[in-house]
Amino acid sequence: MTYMLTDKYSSLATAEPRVKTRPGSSTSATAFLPLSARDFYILFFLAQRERHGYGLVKAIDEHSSGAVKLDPANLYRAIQRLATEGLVEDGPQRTADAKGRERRYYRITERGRQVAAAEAVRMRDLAAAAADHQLIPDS
Amino acid sequence: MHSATPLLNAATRAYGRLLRLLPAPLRVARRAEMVELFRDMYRDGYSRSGARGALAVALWCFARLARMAVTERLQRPLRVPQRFDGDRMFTRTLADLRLAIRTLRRSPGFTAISILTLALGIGATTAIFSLVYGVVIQGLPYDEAHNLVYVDHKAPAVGFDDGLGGAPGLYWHYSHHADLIEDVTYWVPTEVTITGAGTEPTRVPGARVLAEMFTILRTRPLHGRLFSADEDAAEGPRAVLLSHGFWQQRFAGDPGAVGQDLEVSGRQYPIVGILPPGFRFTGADVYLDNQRDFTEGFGGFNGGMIARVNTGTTVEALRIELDRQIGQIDRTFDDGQTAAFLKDSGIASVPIALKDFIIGPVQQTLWILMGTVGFVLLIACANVANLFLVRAEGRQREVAVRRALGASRAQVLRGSLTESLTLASAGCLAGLLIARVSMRVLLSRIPFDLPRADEIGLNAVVLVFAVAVSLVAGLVFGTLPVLRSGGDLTGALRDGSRSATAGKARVRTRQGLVVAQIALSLVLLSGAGLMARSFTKLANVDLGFVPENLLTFQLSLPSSLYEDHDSVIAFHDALRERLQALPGVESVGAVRDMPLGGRSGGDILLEENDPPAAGEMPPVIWLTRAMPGYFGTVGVPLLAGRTMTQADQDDASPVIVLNQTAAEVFFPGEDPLGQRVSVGLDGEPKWLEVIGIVGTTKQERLAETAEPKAFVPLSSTGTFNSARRLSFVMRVASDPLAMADAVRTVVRQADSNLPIIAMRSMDQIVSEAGAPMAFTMILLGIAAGIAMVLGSIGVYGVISYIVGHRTGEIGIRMAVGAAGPDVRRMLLGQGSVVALTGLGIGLAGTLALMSTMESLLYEVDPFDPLTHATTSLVLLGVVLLATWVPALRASRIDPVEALRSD
Repeated sequence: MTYMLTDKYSSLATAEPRVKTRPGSSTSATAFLPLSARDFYILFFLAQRERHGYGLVKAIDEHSSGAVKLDPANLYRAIQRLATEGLVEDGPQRTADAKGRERRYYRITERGRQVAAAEAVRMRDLAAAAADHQLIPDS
Repeated sequence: MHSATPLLNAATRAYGRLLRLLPAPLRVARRAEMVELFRDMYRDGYSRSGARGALAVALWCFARLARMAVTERLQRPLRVPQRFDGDRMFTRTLADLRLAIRTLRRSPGFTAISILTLALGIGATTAIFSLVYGVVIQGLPYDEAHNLVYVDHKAPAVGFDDGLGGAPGLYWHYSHHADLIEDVTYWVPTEVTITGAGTEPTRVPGARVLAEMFTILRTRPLHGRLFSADEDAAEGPRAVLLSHGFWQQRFAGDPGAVGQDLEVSGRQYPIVGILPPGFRFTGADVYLDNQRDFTEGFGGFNGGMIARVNTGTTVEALRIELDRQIGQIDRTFDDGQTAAFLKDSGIASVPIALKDFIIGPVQQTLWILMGTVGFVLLIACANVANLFLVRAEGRQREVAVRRALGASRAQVLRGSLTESLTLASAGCLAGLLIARVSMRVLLSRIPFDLPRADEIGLNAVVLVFAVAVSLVAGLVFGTLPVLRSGGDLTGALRDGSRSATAGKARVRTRQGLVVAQIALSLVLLSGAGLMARSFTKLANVDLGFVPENLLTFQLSLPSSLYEDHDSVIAFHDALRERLQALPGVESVGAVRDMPLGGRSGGDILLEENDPPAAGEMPPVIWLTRAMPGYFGTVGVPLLAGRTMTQADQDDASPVIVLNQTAAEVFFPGEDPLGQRVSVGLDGEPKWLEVIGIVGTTKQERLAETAEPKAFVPLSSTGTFNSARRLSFVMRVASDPLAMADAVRTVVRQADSNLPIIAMRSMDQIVSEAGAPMAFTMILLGIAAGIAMVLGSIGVYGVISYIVGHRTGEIGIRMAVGAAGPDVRRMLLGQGSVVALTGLGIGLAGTLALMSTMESLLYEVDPFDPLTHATTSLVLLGVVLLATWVPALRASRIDPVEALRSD
């Protein structure tokens, strides 16, 4: 375990610049890691179901207890980038509320799902390593 | 929710605009979605915490967007071609600049004249702008100064249309009842004598203020503290605050001065604090606490009042509120008399923004000067543009070759602009130097108290102004020649400068420039002419006395040393006798307010035989004490009766002398001699017999309308102004100032603790009274002179150009029989057309602009036909003279030579 942790830290320390890929290219899912909290949250909530922008903002705000707050510009810059990387895609325009307002929905791609899963595994390993080293107090 | 919609739409629009900051790809792809999300979040904020919540959300989104835009743009790699472009542009500009400098150095005459002309224009404009900026534009050095208001009052029923100032009773009433006011305070300007061990007694301006003054102006002391509430109270502890300047001068900036005692008018005052350097309000050096019991009575209008109003209150709203309060004065003073007095004299408030009050009438003079130098700058630019046109002419073939070789018009323009901007920059630098020097001269010579003079300087704003002016000037005269060069490339290549059509267009451009110069010059010349005429009238105004060989000075006897009225009178009498005994002194007199020495003691005059009807207020009269011999000494003529003598000094049978204006105002069509009058409304009237009528003198300014004035014997008892302060006038045999030392010695022998105030000859006082107008006149005269010289150089240049351009044609004319005079006539005719067009436009401009000068003039109509006719003729003469010289040269052309050179 110790070996693994060292390995992971060293790989973080010498992290290569993020590989920018075009949709459809065959870069492995781990090449995207680590994800930023914002990107992970977006993928995580889209993995549950299609959502529109406002839905994403609210879900992320609630789940992170306000730690990750997204404004329109930053959310859509992220979505635009994730779309360029082939991790999410634009869904249909649909009625979103009782007043009949139409909103664009977004959904995760298969590739996006893989990347999110890889990130979840990475975090799980990290958490386990932290627990091994008594970094997380026993509950 | 409905009320939120307009705000939502406004916020959305703002957000939409901000989105433009984002890089194009993201913006194009996601704009609609970002806007929609923004609206959703805004609504969410509104439903959670109302408008405040919505606003917070909006601001947060704006800020995040702005931050992201910055990081996005910074992170984007610089495009390679862009950087390459930048480099190339820099290299190219540098090369252009080098070429421009080389070209300009090749024609040093042209370069020097252009730079000098521009430097004059830019320098003059910058110097005057720095005055305008420092005095008029720049905000006052107080926190939220826009909420500060000076509260003046007027009493139209007794002849005061403004300038009455404030009264303690009104201050007390306003401070307790008036709405719209955050705070109001009252102060009394005064003069105090500073005495002390081992120092000469000095007289300095002082003010009796309340602690509120510093709260209102948000002043923080430099050292020590400000006044406390205790010190405001009647009979409270004494305290004094010093201005920064006085502290520097008297205590050499030693912070240890706080806590020491200062002897003010014979009494010891502890220095509690030093005011900061920026604090110049009231202009006092020494601030004493005004320990008055404001409940004891209304008091007189002898102070100033300022207020800090609630934000958003207009001067007009405040005026209405204060006038309403004046109508309710009996809430504070319920004696009935106060209300009647205010009503009968028509007292009303005249609030003025504090800045306007401080700047005062000098604002208009400064703007007129600014306009004047602006005109000079325009004329200078026109001249340089003309020079550029001449040069462009000479280089036409060069330009045509460059264009034929593939240079675009833009490239040619760039070359020309680089040259003009290089010249303008040099002109700007030299102009700043001129501005610096001329400002120093101007400020040291300004003959009147320029408000805020110490806030004037070459600061960043003034520098930006100078650079902007130079830039615009450079662009204008750099672009003009290229635009005028037209597109006739082949013509230019074929026969150089002799393309007839392009030549005509250029002549027209240059003529247009000269027309503009003549028009602008005429406006300046007419302004200067009107000022000169006003000044002549003012210099010849009847003063009402004989100013030559008069020495004047003032004394003020402190109550600590001269306790009662009798000791004051005894001192003055004794001093007069001693002065009279000096060799070379013909006569000595004394009066409280001497001619051109201001006025005080305005009061009501009642006639015994013609008491005012109920509710009617008789006009105000200015009352002053005078010693026997005063009228003879200053040369005021006695028109009827007699003046006061030593025998009248005992006050047994009280007497009064009226000036002619007072006699006409109070006794129209009657003989005032022997009539009895009394002064003031308080108590039993004390009747004074009118014993004489004397001539009216100018009291405050040369350009004032005559005002009623009366004189009582120095020793009179009653409610007149104090006899402690007196102006002595001495008629002497020769130069008055040569007597100064002898007079000082006599006064020192009489009392070594008395400061002698303002010892001057009456001639000095008269010339100072005319100085502001002389100053404006001289500045306008200089500007008009420069304008005329530059204008005639322009005309000379154009006619010379026409002559050069038409040498061939003139040669042919002369070859076929035209004589020299015909050629001269033809050219003079062309010059006259240009001159008359310029004069016509200039006259129209003059008539449109002169009404702005009305307030600066004295007894001269701004549309005075004589002035305008004279200036037009003078300018026409100068222009024709400038035409004559090249015309003469043309008429001497040898036809053979001319034809050969063609």
